[in-house]
Amino acid sequence: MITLRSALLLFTCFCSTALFADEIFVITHQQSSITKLTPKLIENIFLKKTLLNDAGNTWIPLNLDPNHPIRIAFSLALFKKKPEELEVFWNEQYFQGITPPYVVASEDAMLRFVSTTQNAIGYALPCHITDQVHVIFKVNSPLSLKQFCPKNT
Amino acid sequence: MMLNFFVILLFGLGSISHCAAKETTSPELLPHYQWGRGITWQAINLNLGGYFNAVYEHPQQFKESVSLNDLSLFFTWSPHQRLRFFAEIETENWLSTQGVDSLDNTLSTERLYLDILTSPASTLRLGKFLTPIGRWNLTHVSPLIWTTSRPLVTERRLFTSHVNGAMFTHRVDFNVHTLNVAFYLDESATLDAFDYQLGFENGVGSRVTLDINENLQIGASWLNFKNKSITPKSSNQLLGIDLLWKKNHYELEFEAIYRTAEDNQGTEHGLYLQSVVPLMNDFYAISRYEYVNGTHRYLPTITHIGVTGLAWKPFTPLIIKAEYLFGDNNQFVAPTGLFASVSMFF
Repeated sequence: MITLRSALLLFTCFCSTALFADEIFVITHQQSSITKLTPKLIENIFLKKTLLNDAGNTWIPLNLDPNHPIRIAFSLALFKKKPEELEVFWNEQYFQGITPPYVVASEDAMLRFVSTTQNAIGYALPCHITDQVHVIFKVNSPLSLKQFCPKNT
Repeated sequence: MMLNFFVILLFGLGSISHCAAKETTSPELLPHYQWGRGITWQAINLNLGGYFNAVYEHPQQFKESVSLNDLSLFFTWSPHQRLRFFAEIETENWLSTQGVDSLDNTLSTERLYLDILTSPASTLRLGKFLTPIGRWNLTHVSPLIWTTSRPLVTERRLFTSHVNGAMFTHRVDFNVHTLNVAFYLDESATLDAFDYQLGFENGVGSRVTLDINENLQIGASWLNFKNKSITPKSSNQLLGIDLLWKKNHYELEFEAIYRTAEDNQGTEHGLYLQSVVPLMNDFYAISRYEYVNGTHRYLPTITHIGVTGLAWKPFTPLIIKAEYLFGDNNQFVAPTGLFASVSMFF
Protein backbone atom coordinates (compact mmCIF):
# COMPACT_ATOMS: atom_id res chain seq x y z
CA MET A 1 0.00 0.00 0.00
CA ILE A 2 2.81 2.36 1.00
CA THR A 3 4.69 1.42 -2.11
CA LEU A 4 1.66 2.07 -4.24
CA ARG A 5 1.14 5.49 -2.60
CA SER A 6 4.83 6.37 -3.11
CA ALA A 7 4.65 5.30 -6.72
CA LEU A 8 1.53 7.43 -7.16
CA LEU A 9 3.22 10.41 -5.50
CA LEU A 10 6.29 9.99 -7.67
CA PHE A 11 4.11 9.76 -10.75
CA THR A 12 2.23 12.90 -9.70
CA CYS A 13 5.47 14.77 -9.16
CA PHE A 14 6.78 13.63 -12.49
CA CYS A 15 3.58 14.73 -14.20
CA SER A 16 3.72 18.04 -12.38
CA THR A 17 7.26 18.57 -13.52
CA ALA A 18 6.36 17.76 -17.07
CA LEU A 19 3.18 19.83 -17.12
CA PHE A 20 4.45 22.71 -15.01
CA ALA A 21 7.97 22.93 -16.30
CA ASP A 22 9.60 26.35 -16.28
CA GLU A 23 7.65 27.68 -19.17
CA ILE A 24 5.69 30.88 -19.57
CA PHE A 25 2.65 30.81 -21.81
CA VAL A 26 1.95 33.77 -24.06
CA ILE A 27 -1.80 34.28 -24.09
CA THR A 28 -4.39 36.08 -26.15
CA HIS A 29 -8.16 36.39 -26.08
CA GLN A 30 -9.93 33.07 -26.49
CA GLN A 31 -11.64 34.28 -29.67
CA SER A 32 -8.45 35.72 -31.15
CA SER A 33 -8.10 35.10 -34.86
CA ILE A 34 -4.32 35.07 -34.53
CA THR A 35 -3.19 31.47 -34.49
CA LYS A 36 0.57 31.70 -34.77
CA LEU A 37 3.26 34.10 -33.60
CA THR A 38 7.02 33.91 -33.99
CA PRO A 39 9.39 34.81 -31.14
CA LYS A 40 10.58 37.87 -33.13
CA LEU A 41 7.02 39.06 -33.59
CA ILE A 42 6.24 38.58 -29.90
CA GLU A 43 9.36 40.56 -29.09
CA ASN A 44 8.25 43.33 -31.45
CA ILE A 45 4.75 43.39 -29.95
CA PHE A 46 6.03 43.72 -26.38
CA LEU A 47 8.54 46.37 -27.50
CA LYS A 48 5.71 48.12 -29.37
CA LYS A 49 7.67 48.04 -32.60
CA THR A 50 4.73 46.17 -34.09
CA LEU A 51 1.54 47.97 -33.15
CA LEU A 52 -0.94 46.27 -35.46
CA ASN A 53 -1.85 42.63 -35.89
CA ASP A 54 -2.51 41.03 -39.28
CA ALA A 55 -6.21 41.85 -38.97
CA GLY A 56 -5.37 45.53 -38.70
CA ASN A 57 -6.21 45.84 -35.00
CA THR A 58 -3.96 47.34 -32.34
CA TRP A 59 -2.14 44.90 -30.12
CA ILE A 60 -2.57 45.61 -26.42
CA PRO A 61 0.48 44.06 -24.77
CA LEU A 62 0.41 43.72 -20.99
CA ASN A 63 3.17 43.41 -18.46
CA LEU A 64 3.50 42.51 -14.82
CA ASP A 65 5.36 44.79 -12.43
CA PRO A 66 9.09 45.04 -13.29
CA ASN A 67 9.96 43.35 -9.98
CA HIS A 68 7.57 40.44 -10.49
CA PRO A 69 9.57 37.18 -10.92
CA ILE A 70 7.47 36.11 -13.91
CA ARG A 71 8.03 39.48 -15.61
CA ILE A 72 11.77 39.17 -15.00
CA ALA A 73 11.81 35.62 -16.37
CA PHE A 74 9.71 36.62 -19.38
CA SER A 75 11.96 39.58 -20.12
CA LEU A 76 15.11 37.47 -19.86
CA ALA A 77 13.60 34.76 -22.06
CA LEU A 78 12.34 37.11 -24.76
CA PHE A 79 14.81 40.00 -24.78
CA LYS A 80 17.78 38.48 -22.94
CA LYS A 81 17.56 41.53 -20.71
CA LYS A 82 16.09 42.36 -17.32
CA PRO A 83 13.18 44.84 -17.34
CA GLU A 84 15.36 47.66 -16.00
CA GLU A 85 17.85 47.13 -18.84
CA LEU A 86 15.12 48.07 -21.29
CA GLU A 87 14.49 51.44 -19.66
CA VAL A 88 16.93 53.22 -21.99
CA PHE A 89 15.02 51.78 -24.93
CA TRP A 90 11.72 52.98 -23.42
CA ASN A 91 13.21 56.44 -22.86
CA GLU A 92 13.86 56.66 -26.61
CA GLN A 93 10.39 55.36 -27.38
CA TYR A 94 8.82 57.87 -24.98
CA PHE A 95 10.45 60.64 -26.99
CA GLN A 96 8.62 59.18 -30.03
CA GLY A 97 5.35 59.16 -28.10
CA ILE A 98 5.35 55.43 -27.41
CA THR A 99 4.97 54.25 -23.84
CA PRO A 100 5.74 50.77 -22.46
CA PRO A 101 3.02 48.10 -22.25
CA TYR A 102 0.34 48.63 -19.65
CA VAL A 103 1.27 47.06 -16.30
CA VAL A 104 -1.36 44.98 -14.54
CA ALA A 105 -1.25 44.26 -10.83
CA SER A 106 -1.11 40.46 -10.87
CA GLU A 107 -1.36 37.33 -12.97
CA ASP A 108 -5.06 37.19 -12.09
CA ALA A 109 -5.50 40.70 -13.46
CA MET A 110 -3.52 39.68 -16.55
CA LEU A 111 -5.80 36.69 -17.17
CA ARG A 112 -8.92 38.74 -16.49
CA PHE A 113 -7.81 41.49 -18.85
CA VAL A 114 -6.78 39.16 -21.66
CA SER A 115 -9.94 37.08 -21.36
CA THR A 116 -12.14 40.16 -21.70
CA THR A 117 -10.19 42.24 -24.22
CA GLN A 118 -9.85 41.45 -27.89
CA ASN A 119 -6.27 42.02 -29.13
CA ALA A 120 -4.78 41.94 -25.64
CA ILE A 121 -1.66 39.81 -25.29
CA GLY A 122 -0.04 38.81 -22.04
CA TYR A 123 1.65 35.92 -20.31
CA ALA A 124 1.10 33.61 -17.37
CA LEU A 125 2.40 30.40 -15.88
CA PRO A 126 0.94 27.17 -17.26
CA CYS A 127 -0.56 26.25 -13.90
CA HIS A 128 -2.61 29.46 -13.82
CA ILE A 129 -3.96 29.31 -17.35
CA THR A 130 -7.74 29.12 -17.62
CA ASP A 131 -9.90 28.10 -20.53
CA GLN A 132 -10.87 31.77 -20.92
CA VAL A 133 -7.62 32.52 -22.76
CA HIS A 134 -5.84 31.13 -25.77
CA VAL A 135 -2.24 29.96 -25.45
CA ILE A 136 -0.45 31.14 -28.56
CA PHE A 137 3.20 30.54 -27.69
CA LYS A 138 5.35 28.91 -25.03
CA VAL A 139 8.53 30.54 -23.80
CA ASN A 140 11.18 28.63 -21.89
CA SER A 141 11.98 30.47 -18.70
CA PRO A 142 15.65 30.85 -17.79
CA LEU A 143 14.60 31.08 -14.13
CA SER A 144 12.92 28.50 -11.98
CA LEU A 145 9.28 29.42 -11.46
CA LYS A 146 8.03 26.16 -9.91
CA GLN A 147 7.49 27.78 -6.54
CA PHE A 148 4.71 29.87 -8.05
CA CYS A 149 2.76 26.79 -9.09
CA PRO A 150 1.24 24.98 -6.12
CA LYS A 151 1.65 21.23 -6.51
CA ASN A 152 -2.05 20.52 -6.14
CA THR A 153 -3.03 22.72 -9.06
CA MET B 1 -1.35 83.30 -30.26
CA MET B 2 0.34 79.94 -30.73
CA LEU B 3 -0.26 79.06 -27.09
CA ASN B 4 -3.96 79.79 -27.50
CA PHE B 5 -4.05 77.59 -30.57
CA PHE B 6 -2.62 74.62 -28.69
CA VAL B 7 -4.78 75.12 -25.62
CA ILE B 8 -7.81 74.98 -27.91
CA LEU B 9 -6.36 71.99 -29.75
CA LEU B 10 -5.69 70.06 -26.54
CA PHE B 11 -9.08 70.94 -25.13
CA GLY B 12 -10.77 69.84 -28.34
CA LEU B 13 -8.92 66.56 -28.49
CA GLY B 14 -9.58 66.02 -24.80
CA SER B 15 -13.30 66.41 -25.39
CA ILE B 16 -13.25 63.94 -28.26
CA SER B 17 -11.20 61.54 -26.14
CA HIS B 18 -13.72 61.82 -23.32
CA CYS B 19 -16.51 60.83 -25.69
CA ALA B 20 -14.44 57.91 -26.96
CA ALA B 21 -13.72 56.84 -23.41
CA LYS B 22 -17.39 56.37 -22.64
CA GLU B 23 -17.50 53.63 -25.23
CA THR B 24 -14.25 51.85 -24.43
CA THR B 25 -13.16 52.47 -20.85
CA SER B 26 -12.39 49.42 -18.78
CA PRO B 27 -12.30 49.97 -15.03
CA GLU B 28 -8.73 48.63 -14.97
CA LEU B 29 -7.50 51.34 -17.31
CA LEU B 30 -7.79 54.50 -15.28
CA PRO B 31 -5.33 57.34 -15.93
CA HIS B 32 -2.08 56.97 -14.06
CA TYR B 33 1.21 58.84 -13.84
CA GLN B 34 4.62 57.23 -14.00
CA TRP B 35 7.81 59.21 -13.47
CA GLY B 36 9.52 59.62 -16.79
CA ARG B 37 6.59 58.22 -18.75
CA GLY B 38 3.96 60.92 -18.25
CA ILE B 39 0.27 60.54 -17.59
CA THR B 40 -1.20 57.63 -19.52
CA TRP B 41 -4.88 57.06 -20.03
CA GLN B 42 -4.72 53.63 -21.61
CA ALA B 43 -8.46 53.36 -22.15
CA ILE B 44 -8.42 56.15 -24.71
CA ASN B 45 -4.79 55.76 -25.81
CA LEU B 46 -3.74 59.16 -24.53
CA ASN B 47 -0.42 60.18 -23.03
CA LEU B 48 0.79 63.54 -21.77
CA GLY B 49 4.41 63.98 -20.79
CA GLY B 50 7.56 65.90 -21.56
CA TYR B 51 10.98 66.87 -20.30
CA PHE B 52 13.04 69.81 -19.13
CA ASN B 53 16.67 70.73 -19.60
CA ALA B 54 18.42 73.31 -17.41
CA VAL B 55 21.84 74.37 -18.67
CA TYR B 56 24.90 76.09 -17.25
CA GLU B 57 27.24 77.49 -19.93
CA HIS B 58 30.55 79.21 -19.46
CA PRO B 59 32.31 79.58 -22.79
CA GLN B 60 35.64 81.38 -22.58
CA GLN B 61 35.46 85.12 -23.38
CA PHE B 62 31.68 85.07 -22.87
CA LYS B 63 29.51 85.66 -19.85
CA GLU B 64 28.41 82.57 -17.98
CA SER B 65 24.71 81.83 -17.97
CA VAL B 66 22.12 79.51 -16.51
CA SER B 67 18.93 78.88 -18.44
CA LEU B 68 15.91 76.70 -18.70
CA ASN B 69 17.06 75.63 -22.12
CA ASP B 70 14.08 73.43 -22.92
CA LEU B 71 10.70 72.78 -21.41
CA SER B 72 8.76 70.45 -23.68
CA LEU B 73 5.36 68.85 -23.53
CA PHE B 74 4.50 65.67 -25.45
CA PHE B 75 0.97 64.84 -26.42
CA THR B 76 0.20 61.44 -27.93
CA TRP B 77 -3.25 60.28 -28.84
CA SER B 78 -4.45 57.33 -30.84
CA PRO B 79 -8.08 57.96 -31.79
CA HIS B 80 -8.21 54.94 -34.08
CA GLN B 81 -6.41 51.60 -34.42
CA ARG B 82 -4.43 52.89 -37.38
CA LEU B 83 -3.96 56.52 -36.37
CA ARG B 84 -1.51 58.07 -33.92
CA PHE B 85 -1.27 61.79 -33.36
CA PHE B 86 1.83 63.29 -31.76
CA ALA B 87 2.70 66.85 -30.79
CA GLU B 88 5.67 68.35 -28.99
CA ILE B 89 5.33 71.92 -27.83
CA GLU B 90 8.53 73.50 -26.57
CA THR B 91 9.72 76.66 -24.89
CA GLU B 92 13.36 77.37 -25.61
CA ASN B 93 15.40 79.64 -23.33
CA TRP B 94 12.28 81.00 -21.69
CA LEU B 95 13.99 81.64 -18.35
CA SER B 96 17.63 82.50 -17.94
CA THR B 97 20.00 84.62 -15.92
CA GLN B 98 19.78 87.07 -18.83
CA GLY B 99 16.10 87.57 -18.06
CA VAL B 100 12.65 86.20 -18.75
CA ASP B 101 11.47 86.10 -22.33
CA SER B 102 7.82 86.11 -23.36
CA LEU B 103 6.15 82.79 -24.10
CA ASP B 104 5.16 84.01 -27.54
CA ASN B 105 8.83 84.50 -28.38
CA THR B 106 10.03 81.21 -26.99
CA LEU B 107 7.15 78.82 -27.64
CA SER B 108 7.40 76.65 -30.72
CA THR B 109 5.96 73.52 -32.20
CA GLU B 110 8.87 71.15 -32.25
CA ARG B 111 6.93 68.28 -33.81
CA LEU B 112 3.35 67.86 -34.97
CA TYR B 113 2.38 64.82 -37.00
CA LEU B 114 -0.07 62.07 -37.67
CA ASP B 115 1.11 58.49 -38.11
CA ILE B 116 -1.05 56.28 -40.28
CA LEU B 117 -0.24 52.62 -39.63
CA THR B 118 -0.63 51.21 -43.12
CA SER B 119 0.43 47.68 -42.10
CA PRO B 120 2.05 45.98 -39.09
CA ALA B 121 5.46 47.00 -40.49
CA SER B 122 4.71 50.21 -42.38
CA THR B 123 3.80 53.74 -41.35
CA LEU B 124 2.97 56.89 -43.26
CA ARG B 125 3.81 60.05 -41.30
CA LEU B 126 2.28 63.41 -42.22
CA GLY B 127 3.20 66.72 -40.62
CA LYS B 128 6.26 68.26 -39.03
CA PHE B 129 8.88 65.80 -37.79
CA LEU B 130 12.61 65.49 -37.17
CA THR B 131 14.78 65.17 -40.25
CA PRO B 132 15.94 61.55 -40.35
CA ILE B 133 19.64 62.17 -40.89
CA GLY B 134 22.04 60.30 -38.65
CA ARG B 135 21.20 59.29 -35.11
CA TRP B 136 21.78 62.45 -33.10
CA ASN B 137 19.11 64.57 -34.74
CA LEU B 138 16.50 61.88 -34.12
CA THR B 139 17.42 61.47 -30.45
CA HIS B 140 18.76 64.96 -29.77
CA VAL B 141 16.60 65.55 -26.72
CA SER B 142 18.71 66.23 -23.66
CA PRO B 143 17.63 63.29 -21.42
CA LEU B 144 18.65 60.89 -24.21
CA ILE B 145 22.10 62.24 -25.01
CA TRP B 146 25.33 62.16 -23.07
CA THR B 147 26.60 65.71 -23.47
CA THR B 148 25.22 69.22 -23.06
CA SER B 149 26.86 70.36 -26.29
CA ARG B 150 25.79 69.08 -29.67
CA PRO B 151 28.22 67.86 -32.35
CA LEU B 152 28.67 70.43 -35.11
CA VAL B 153 27.82 67.96 -37.86
CA THR B 154 24.33 67.55 -36.40
CA GLU B 155 23.59 71.27 -36.10
CA ARG B 156 20.76 73.07 -37.84
CA ARG B 157 23.26 75.09 -39.87
CA LEU B 158 24.46 71.95 -41.58
CA PHE B 159 20.99 70.62 -42.29
CA THR B 160 17.59 71.71 -41.11
CA SER B 161 16.44 69.67 -38.17
CA HIS B 162 12.80 69.42 -39.25
CA VAL B 163 10.83 68.27 -42.25
CA ASN B 164 7.35 69.49 -43.16
CA GLY B 165 5.85 66.86 -45.38
CA ALA B 166 5.38 63.12 -45.53
CA MET B 167 7.50 60.10 -44.68
CA PHE B 168 6.91 56.43 -45.39
CA THR B 169 8.77 53.90 -43.22
CA HIS B 170 8.93 50.15 -43.53
CA ARG B 171 10.57 47.55 -41.29
CA VAL B 172 11.81 44.14 -42.38
CA ASP B 173 12.87 41.51 -39.86
CA PHE B 174 15.05 38.64 -40.96
CA ASN B 175 16.73 36.29 -38.50
CA VAL B 176 18.16 38.54 -35.78
CA HIS B 177 18.48 41.50 -38.13
CA THR B 178 16.08 44.38 -38.63
CA LEU B 179 16.14 46.65 -41.65
CA ASN B 180 14.35 50.00 -41.44
CA VAL B 181 13.81 52.05 -44.54
CA ALA B 182 12.43 55.59 -44.58
CA PHE B 183 11.63 57.74 -47.57
CA TYR B 184 10.44 61.32 -47.12
CA LEU B 185 9.37 64.44 -48.98
CA ASP B 186 9.60 67.99 -47.69
CA GLU B 187 7.52 70.87 -48.97
CA SER B 188 8.14 73.47 -46.27
CA ALA B 189 7.68 76.32 -48.74
CA THR B 190 3.96 75.64 -48.70
CA LEU B 191 3.40 73.41 -45.66
CA ASP B 192 5.39 75.12 -42.91
CA ALA B 193 2.62 76.87 -41.01
CA PHE B 194 5.17 78.25 -38.56
CA ASP B 195 7.39 79.69 -41.31
CA TYR B 196 10.71 78.65 -39.80
CA GLN B 197 13.27 80.79 -41.64
CA LEU B 198 16.13 78.30 -41.37
CA GLY B 199 13.97 75.55 -42.84
CA PHE B 200 13.95 73.75 -46.14
CA GLU B 201 12.30 75.19 -49.20
CA ASN B 202 11.69 71.63 -50.26
CA GLY B 203 13.56 68.35 -50.31
CA VAL B 204 13.51 64.62 -50.76
CA GLY B 205 15.50 62.10 -48.76
CA SER B 206 15.81 58.63 -47.35
CA ARG B 207 17.37 56.83 -44.45
CA VAL B 208 18.23 53.15 -44.01
CA THR B 209 19.27 51.49 -40.78
CA LEU B 210 20.30 47.90 -40.23
CA ASP B 211 20.49 46.20 -36.86
CA ILE B 212 23.40 43.82 -37.38
CA ASN B 213 22.70 42.31 -33.99
CA GLU B 214 21.29 43.53 -30.68
CA ASN B 215 24.51 45.51 -30.02
CA LEU B 216 25.26 47.09 -33.36
CA GLN B 217 23.29 49.34 -35.69
CA ILE B 218 24.55 51.00 -38.85
CA GLY B 219 22.76 53.66 -40.86
CA ALA B 220 22.97 55.71 -44.04
CA SER B 221 21.15 58.91 -44.95
CA TRP B 222 20.68 60.85 -48.14
CA LEU B 223 18.97 64.18 -48.78
CA ASN B 224 18.47 66.45 -51.77
CA PHE B 225 17.21 69.85 -50.66
CA LYS B 226 16.86 73.57 -51.18
CA ASN B 227 17.05 76.07 -48.35
CA LYS B 228 14.28 78.56 -47.69
CA SER B 229 16.17 81.70 -46.76
CA ILE B 230 19.28 81.25 -48.86
CA THR B 231 19.76 82.59 -52.36
CA PRO B 232 20.33 81.53 -55.01
CA LYS B 233 18.07 78.54 -54.34
CA SER B 234 20.13 75.73 -55.73
CA SER B 235 19.73 72.02 -55.20
CA ASN B 236 22.03 70.69 -52.48
CA GLN B 237 23.04 67.14 -51.64
CA LEU B 238 23.77 65.59 -48.27
CA LEU B 239 25.12 62.13 -47.53
CA GLY B 240 25.64 60.62 -44.12
CA ILE B 241 26.68 57.38 -42.47
CA ASP B 242 26.40 56.46 -38.82
CA LEU B 243 27.06 53.66 -36.41
CA LEU B 244 26.02 52.83 -32.86
CA TRP B 245 27.50 50.02 -30.81
CA LYS B 246 26.27 49.30 -27.28
CA LYS B 247 27.22 46.56 -24.89
CA ASN B 248 27.18 46.30 -21.08
CA HIS B 249 26.67 50.08 -20.79
CA TYR B 250 29.65 50.80 -23.06
CA GLU B 251 28.82 52.81 -26.16
CA LEU B 252 30.48 53.94 -29.32
CA GLU B 253 28.69 56.34 -31.63
CA PHE B 254 29.89 57.66 -34.97
CA GLU B 255 28.44 59.93 -37.62
CA ALA B 256 29.95 61.40 -40.76
CA ILE B 257 28.20 63.84 -43.06
CA TYR B 258 29.09 65.38 -46.39
CA ARG B 259 27.02 68.26 -47.77
CA THR B 260 27.44 69.99 -51.08
CA ALA B 261 25.90 73.41 -51.58
CA GLU B 262 26.05 75.62 -54.59
CA ASP B 263 24.39 78.46 -52.69
CA ASN B 264 26.19 80.66 -50.17
CA GLN B 265 25.73 78.05 -47.46
CA GLY B 266 28.81 76.37 -48.88
CA THR B 267 30.13 72.83 -48.92
CA GLU B 268 30.88 71.15 -45.62
CA HIS B 269 31.83 67.77 -44.28
CA GLY B 270 32.63 66.44 -40.86
CA LEU B 271 32.28 63.69 -38.33
CA TYR B 272 32.17 62.87 -34.67
CA LEU B 273 33.16 59.83 -32.70
CA GLN B 274 31.88 59.50 -29.15
CA SER B 275 32.58 56.90 -26.52
CA VAL B 276 30.78 56.18 -23.26
CA VAL B 277 32.43 54.17 -20.51
CA PRO B 278 30.52 53.15 -17.37
CA LEU B 279 32.23 54.02 -14.10
CA MET B 280 30.79 53.31 -10.69
CA ASN B 281 27.52 54.37 -9.02
CA ASP B 282 25.76 55.23 -12.29
CA PHE B 283 28.52 57.59 -13.43
CA TYR B 284 29.73 57.50 -17.02
CA ALA B 285 32.82 58.97 -18.68
CA ILE B 286 32.19 60.60 -22.05
CA SER B 287 34.75 61.46 -24.72
CA ARG B 288 34.08 62.92 -28.13
CA TYR B 289 36.17 63.99 -31.05
CA GLU B 290 34.71 66.19 -33.79
CA TYR B 291 36.04 67.37 -37.10
CA VAL B 292 34.43 69.89 -39.42
CA ASN B 293 35.80 71.14 -42.73
CA GLY B 294 33.97 73.65 -44.88
CA THR B 295 31.60 76.52 -44.44
CA HIS B 296 29.91 76.26 -41.07
CA ARG B 297 27.52 79.04 -40.11
CA TYR B 298 28.78 80.80 -43.27
CA LEU B 299 32.34 80.75 -41.89
CA PRO B 300 35.03 78.79 -43.73
CA THR B 301 36.70 76.64 -41.11
CA ILE B 302 38.74 73.53 -40.42
CA THR B 303 37.86 72.76 -36.85
CA HIS B 304 38.89 70.03 -34.45
CA ILE B 305 36.97 69.69 -31.20
CA GLY B 306 37.41 67.51 -28.15
CA VAL B 307 34.80 67.01 -25.46
CA THR B 308 35.47 65.24 -22.21
CA GLY B 309 32.93 64.92 -19.46
CA LEU B 310 30.96 63.01 -16.91
CA ALA B 311 27.32 62.01 -16.84
CA TRP B 312 25.42 60.72 -13.83
CA LYS B 313 22.19 58.78 -14.24
CA PRO B 314 20.94 58.11 -10.71
CA PHE B 315 17.47 57.28 -12.04
CA THR B 316 16.36 56.35 -15.53
CA PRO B 317 14.53 59.58 -16.49
CA LEU B 318 17.18 61.87 -14.95
CA ILE B 319 20.64 62.73 -16.22
CA ILE B 320 23.15 65.24 -14.88
CA LYS B 321 26.11 66.15 -17.11
CA ALA B 322 29.25 68.26 -16.98
CA GLU B 323 31.82 68.59 -19.74
CA TYR B 324 34.75 70.59 -20.95
CA LEU B 325 34.89 71.45 -24.64
CA PHE B 326 38.14 72.50 -26.29
CA GLY B 327 39.57 72.54 -29.78
CA ASP B 328 41.48 74.04 -32.62
CA ASN B 329 39.92 76.83 -34.74
CA ASN B 330 36.78 76.42 -32.71
CA GLN B 331 36.36 79.89 -31.21
CA PHE B 332 33.59 80.99 -33.59
CA VAL B 333 31.69 77.76 -34.13
CA ALA B 334 31.97 76.10 -30.72
CA PRO B 335 33.92 78.14 -28.15
CA THR B 336 36.08 76.42 -25.56
CA GLY B 337 34.39 76.27 -22.19
CA LEU B 338 32.58 74.46 -19.44
CA PHE B 339 29.05 73.19 -19.93
CA ALA B 340 26.70 71.40 -17.57
CA SER B 341 23.05 70.46 -17.51
CA VAL B 342 20.28 68.70 -15.63
CA SER B 343 17.63 67.01 -17.77
CA MET B 344 14.68 64.87 -16.92
CA PHE B 345 11.69 63.27 -18.55
CA PHE B 346 8.56 63.78 -16.50
